[in-house]
Amino acid sequence: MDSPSSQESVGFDYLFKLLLIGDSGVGKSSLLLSFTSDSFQDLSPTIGVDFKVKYADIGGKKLKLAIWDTAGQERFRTLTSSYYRGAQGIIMVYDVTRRETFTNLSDIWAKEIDLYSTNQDCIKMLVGNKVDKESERVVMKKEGINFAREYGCLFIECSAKTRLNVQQCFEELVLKILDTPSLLAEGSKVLKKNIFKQKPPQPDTSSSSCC
Amino acid sequence: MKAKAAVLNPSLIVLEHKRDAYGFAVRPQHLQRYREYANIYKEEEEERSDRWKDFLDRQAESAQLAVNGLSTKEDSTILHAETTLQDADFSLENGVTGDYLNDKKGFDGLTENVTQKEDEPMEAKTHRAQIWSEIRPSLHAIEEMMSLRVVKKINGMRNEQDAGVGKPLSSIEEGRPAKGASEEDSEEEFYDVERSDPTQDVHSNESVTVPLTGATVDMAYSESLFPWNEELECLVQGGVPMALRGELWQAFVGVRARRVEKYYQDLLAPDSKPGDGAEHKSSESDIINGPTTDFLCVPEKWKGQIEKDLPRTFPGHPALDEDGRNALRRLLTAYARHNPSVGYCQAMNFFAGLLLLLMPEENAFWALMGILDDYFDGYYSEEMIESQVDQLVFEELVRERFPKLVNHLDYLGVQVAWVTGPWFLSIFMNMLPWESGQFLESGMCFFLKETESCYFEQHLL
Repeated sequence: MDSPSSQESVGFDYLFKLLLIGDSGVGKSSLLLSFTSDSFQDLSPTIGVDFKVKYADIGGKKLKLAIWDTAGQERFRTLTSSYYRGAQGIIMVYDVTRRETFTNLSDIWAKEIDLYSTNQDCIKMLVGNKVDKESERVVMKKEGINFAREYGCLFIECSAKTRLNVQQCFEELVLKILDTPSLLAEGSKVLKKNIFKQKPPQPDTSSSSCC
Repeated sequence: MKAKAAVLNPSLIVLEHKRDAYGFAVRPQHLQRYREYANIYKEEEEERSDRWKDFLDRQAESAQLAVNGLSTKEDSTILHAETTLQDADFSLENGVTGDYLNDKKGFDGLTENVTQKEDEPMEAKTHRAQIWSEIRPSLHAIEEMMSLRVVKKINGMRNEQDAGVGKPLSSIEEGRPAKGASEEDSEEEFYDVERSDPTQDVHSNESVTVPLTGATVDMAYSESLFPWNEELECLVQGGVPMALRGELWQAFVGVRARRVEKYYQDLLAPDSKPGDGAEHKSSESDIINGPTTDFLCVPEKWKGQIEKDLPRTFPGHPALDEDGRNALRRLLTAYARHNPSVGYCQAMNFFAGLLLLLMPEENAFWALMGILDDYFDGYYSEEMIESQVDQLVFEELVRERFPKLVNHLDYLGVQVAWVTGPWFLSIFMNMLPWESGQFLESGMCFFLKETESCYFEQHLL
């Protein structure tokens, strides 16, 4: 049943790792599902981390997007910190109907990025979700814009439910990554490894990644 | 409610295949495959049922034989044997169906047949509270064996407490005292009990354990008493029939041995704090009450998270209607208050929800507490330290056994724990089809072996 996408999987120009972060219940998993399978349904909370792969043609390039979806509950942060490593794009999601999910972005999530992101140039994107609930909105668009300006990130408002701006959200992020030479180099490095190396490198020590 | 119970009748489900036997919606893309496998599941389930029935029947017989040769000192065993025999009309069909599923305020899921529960002589209090009931007598022998561990843990804890390092609220109350338990001081009673002499236990159902509640449990003795231990282990590894699952889990966790009257209700009393009056206690009980008194000062910050997750627990499952969610809220709230150092961690909602599908609400509380306190200590706390340790150990094991796989993951920059962490955290729920049977019991083997190593063994593919 998955054959349409598996056909696309044969070749791609770049592989990018994207990461979704933000408070519990803001709609990270829904946003991802909306993007990867054009559907919206009631989801269970994410435990730890989940990920999906999406093949997309953006900016004239064939892309493989590995999108990591993290748990929002505070205590999972000790586990999720390692997922920041190597991400070319980080999407910070808040719920426009719950102010604390917005304020936590500057109080908590932006700091997490500073602490754990390994990539100086990594593109950040601020996403205000659930705009379909316009009547319950408490965070104004203007506030999002100001936040984005202050932190130097992209900004969009969307609805995972109606799929409004969902494609645009990921597209803008990816376009920006494609515009950034250092990230582009990373995205294709993996690819070259894939093509030119018959065997994956043998790790010399048991685990060099544990520190 | 009644209508819903009918919807959950497995025979209807099997016809429609829209939902599996546990009431979970089968995803449209899996419907075809589910239809193909439904009969296999059914056959396997019947085989499992037969194996267990055979085992329990034989157990009842041997218990009877044993009784004939026993001294009066162990007449409690006779009591037990009698109840076992009285359970001769054991029928798997009656399985999960307890009264609680028909009229309790909690879930009405999983009602197999709306059969009348037989009058069980040992269950005087079954009907007193809808949210609590005892398991069928034929499982008492297993329950007793497993409760030995509970007793051993109490003893260990008691020793630790003497040394001042006890984990305060691991509530084991083997010796429920006969003294009048007034409502207000049930908390106090609870703690007194932990320090009290277990041999004062007068509860007839538990009396078999009395000779064993010394300073240490003589395992050799228990092995001779339970020669079927190994066979039971095999049975568990082959999976448990759905009809017995809820009650067997309770037997394995030692729910009845853990239960303290009114403890659950007190935790939930609307404005009461479970440590009511704890401040007036001696310094010793202050140590014991540590977390409880903490709870008085700490705002219940997990409340919001629980609310968020209630509608997100098994969304669409018919048992999780308003009543079901209320039951789940109570269960999670009670546990959070019982163990404030953990409070509420996502993933707990899944197995709390599953327990509610399988047993009455208060039974579910003691089962949840037994599982979390004894086997997942430190797993779901703020630091989640044990969870991380387990993942590192697991990664080492995978590295050893599946070097190719790990090399590839290393190459992709993916840590083993990223993939397996969520599996372990949710105790493998939501990972495999509900009806495959075995996976639900993967955790149960560590009740038997008292070691987590088999948790790993089981899941090393």
